Amino acid sequence: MHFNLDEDQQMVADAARQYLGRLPGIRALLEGHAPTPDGWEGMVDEQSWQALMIPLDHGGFGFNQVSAAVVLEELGRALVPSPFLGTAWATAALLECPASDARDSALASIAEGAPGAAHFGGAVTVDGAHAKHVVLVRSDGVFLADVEREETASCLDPTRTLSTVQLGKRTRLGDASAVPFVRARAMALLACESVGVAEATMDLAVDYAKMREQFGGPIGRFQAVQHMCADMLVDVESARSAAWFAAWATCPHANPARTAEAAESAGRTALCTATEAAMRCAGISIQVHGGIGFTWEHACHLYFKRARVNQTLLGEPRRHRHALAERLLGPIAATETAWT
Amino acid sequence: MDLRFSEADEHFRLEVRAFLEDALSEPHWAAVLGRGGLGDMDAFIEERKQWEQVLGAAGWTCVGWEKQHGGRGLSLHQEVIYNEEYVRARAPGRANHCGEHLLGPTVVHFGTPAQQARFLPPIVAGTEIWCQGYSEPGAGSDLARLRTKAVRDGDDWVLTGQKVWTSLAEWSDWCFVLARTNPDAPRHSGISCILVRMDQPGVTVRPIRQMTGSAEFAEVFFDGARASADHVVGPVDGGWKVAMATLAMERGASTLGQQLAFQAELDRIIAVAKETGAAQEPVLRDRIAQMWTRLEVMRLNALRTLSAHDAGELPRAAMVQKLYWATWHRDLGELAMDVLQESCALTDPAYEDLHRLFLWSRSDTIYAGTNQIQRNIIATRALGLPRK
Repeated sequence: MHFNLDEDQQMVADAARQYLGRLPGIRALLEGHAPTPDGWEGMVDEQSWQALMIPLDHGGFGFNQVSAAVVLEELGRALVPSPFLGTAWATAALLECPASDARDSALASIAEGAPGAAHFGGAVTVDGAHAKHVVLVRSDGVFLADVEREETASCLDPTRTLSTVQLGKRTRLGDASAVPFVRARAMALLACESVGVAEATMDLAVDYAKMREQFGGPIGRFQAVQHMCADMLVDVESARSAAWFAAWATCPHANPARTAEAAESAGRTALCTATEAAMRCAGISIQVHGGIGFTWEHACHLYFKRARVNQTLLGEPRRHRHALAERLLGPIAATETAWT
Repeated sequence: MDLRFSEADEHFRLEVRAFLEDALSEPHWAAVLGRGGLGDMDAFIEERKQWEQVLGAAGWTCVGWEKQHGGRGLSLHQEVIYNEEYVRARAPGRANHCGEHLLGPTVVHFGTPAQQARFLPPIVAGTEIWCQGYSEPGAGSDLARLRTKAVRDGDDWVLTGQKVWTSLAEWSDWCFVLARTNPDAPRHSGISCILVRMDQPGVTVRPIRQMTGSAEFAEVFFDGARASADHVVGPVDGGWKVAMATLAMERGASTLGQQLAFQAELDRIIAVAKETGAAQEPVLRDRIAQMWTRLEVMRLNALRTLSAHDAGELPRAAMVQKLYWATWHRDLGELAMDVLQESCALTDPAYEDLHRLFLWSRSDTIYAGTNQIQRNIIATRALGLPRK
């Protein structure tokens, strides 16, 4: 039993943090530059994150899903726009399907740097604008789809690219049995990104509380501020436990004994825990910063927006609790109680 | 990252399970099954003291202690497995928690060889029960404000003062007491950890009836109680460090593995929710699912803490545990009342266990460091915020 990053996973995380620290990222956004995927080629050339989960014989590195999870955590922390989330979702979906020419060539193409996206049937597709390979995930199966029309939508979170897409010809890659795993893996990966968002907002708040002086000393000496920060740490560590576990538990390469039900539970638990933790932390962070945290020039609002958007991308947490409740409590009967 | 338990661990699990199943199959224990846990600690005391000795004779007490001290030298992993199986078997609540998890490890760490030889074997055998004499009416969160004093008289220390919130004091043979041995020293110095026999003229125990109606805690009055000078653990006037180490033990290993007991409580609430119709209400369904995910997270935080422990680290995940579980359990207590619904919330005796849970859970966010003290600790030690 080893519930921590392996050496190679830690190396991927460290390298990602270093690399992302050198990019303009948040600074560029705050200076008014629109997010672009221009950095993607650089990420592909220098870091090859897109190849981490892809098996060796398809041109990848053959790591398990935890390696992609730690990259997403760093991307959430740095808030650097990239189509990696969509690409990781598409990759995970392809890996859940049996080998076929269409699947294998998509995997090989992604390994070389072609971005991907996964459409889960909602109104928008994450990273659809840049995707060369769009995977459609429906309750009846997993498909590779041609995009007939794509329109980039304006998003509450300016660091995220969402599109409306009209899909054309579909090629079936996997049947319905793959779907719970694909969804659970997407939830796990999204949760990992939210862990990075949560921790970044906590770090900003704690650093600020140590530095900002009022009433003759740093505001971080006041219990009212300390307790808000302590609550953030509870959220960050809980989110990390849930997200790391889901990244491990939903990946057959890491956890050969996984079942669809356990994978779904892990994915839903991670999504609820991490996206809500990020939301609370981003909100507390603004409060700890006071007025400066409400300005356009400070990064607080970018994290706040990312945190809220992540809560919606794969369905609101309450929808996932609704699904968990079905399993714990059975379905709701259509009768009314005496008190309604 | 690999969260599978090893084959040896799984084998060990079966061994524990087999022992408990066998030992508890005797009709004698039927009434005590599942009794004596938190909130119910004064139930079946005599039977549970007897059970300690059954465990001791079979080598199933103090399983995490080194073999040289009478334990099994289990890894923390296996200790957690043991605790999980213990809860699964609904074995009687441990009467000697304080001896096995607090005083024993403290004597192992700070005690003299003579103290170890005197005090450890009866804990292992289950024949001497311990209680903890720390808190006082004027010293709760601010423990260093304690005023119980001990004055040297020949080969003895003579104690005067009052302790409070002492679990199981009425039924204990010994108490480990923090007392001021040097009134002139700064407040964190001048304190000693003294082992005091409870059955003597200078010790009076008065049970405290709690809001649950039961009396698991007590006040302990020392009025000329005597303790041997050989029974000071750690240096005289150096008891603060000993006390802090003991408290760290209380917040650490011994609270891991309690998720199964919590799971049983949540399962009970789910069963009741189905009986009362609460399971049909969307708002309550959301809360039940939320309690389920939060309990799962509690388990995962504990597993991460375990892993870090193997690597010799104290991770941030460990520092949030007390605050996390106490808050969760208090929320569970409120949910317990809410699923009972109007029709049976107040009167039906079949649901008294949920009433007890509701009331008892108000203590969780107070004892062993209040939620507020936990947040202070997290803020200053984990996040490095300034103390003053």
